[in-house]
Amino acid sequence: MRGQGLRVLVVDANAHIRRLIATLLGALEITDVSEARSPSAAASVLAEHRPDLVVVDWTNDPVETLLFVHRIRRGEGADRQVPVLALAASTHHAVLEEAREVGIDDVIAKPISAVDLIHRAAALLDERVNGRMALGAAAQ
Amino acid sequence: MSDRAAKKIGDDATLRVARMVERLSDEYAAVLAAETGRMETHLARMRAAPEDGDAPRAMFRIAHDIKGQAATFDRPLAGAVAGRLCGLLREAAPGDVSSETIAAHVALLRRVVDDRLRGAIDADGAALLERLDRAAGLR
Repeated sequence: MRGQGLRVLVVDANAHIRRLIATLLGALEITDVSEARSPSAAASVLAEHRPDLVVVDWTNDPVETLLFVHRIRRGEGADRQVPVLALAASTHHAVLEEAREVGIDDVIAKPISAVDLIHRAAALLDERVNGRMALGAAAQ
Repeated sequence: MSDRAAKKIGDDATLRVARMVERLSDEYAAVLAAETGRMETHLARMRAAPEDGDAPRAMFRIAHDIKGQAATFDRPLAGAVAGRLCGLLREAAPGDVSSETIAAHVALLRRVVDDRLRGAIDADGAALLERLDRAAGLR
């Protein structure tokens, strides 16, 4: 897929991980990447940046992250349909179940595999772009 | 990851990702060296004031970061050491974990840095981890 014109928000406390993800997204030709150190700091970025994908660390402050996603799904300051990819400590079935319940679209376990991250980001962005095209076609 | 997703990205993008990771892994050497240096500073603080809980907490945070990053940047041994240290420090009160045990973990991180140890954990790496676990009383 080609990600030109798409926007991604990366939320992680660690600057090196944020930089890693932003750099890797370049492989999908995505250059419009905004960053936030925490879910609370991300709230204003979300409203301003209107991302097509949110990549959020779920290990630093799990409760704050869940509240952040919950607010997105309620449409607070964001498109409630924006896909969310979470970086978790594990992909144990209980984690995946909790993710599904709160509205996280996909989960990757840390330490992340760069190729896996990009594959999953591409899949979520692809679904979003195709969903938009389908909506546009239906409106016509 | 679905085959469908992999096909959508294509071989070129996958190759680009591999190159980017290689470059970032090279750059991570400096990050790991700096983090290990901070660990050593906090270890010295801890030895000077064993009742002070700030140094172990700071070490836990650094170890947590290394645990989450090192394997991504081709240093799984550093990730394994940091993961063990996280486990020891997570719920520990000051003095619960001896400074010698923590020092053994920090020394192994220093070895990863100085010897530029990268790639999968081999038999030597596994032996070092086993020795570390013995020092921590885990085996």
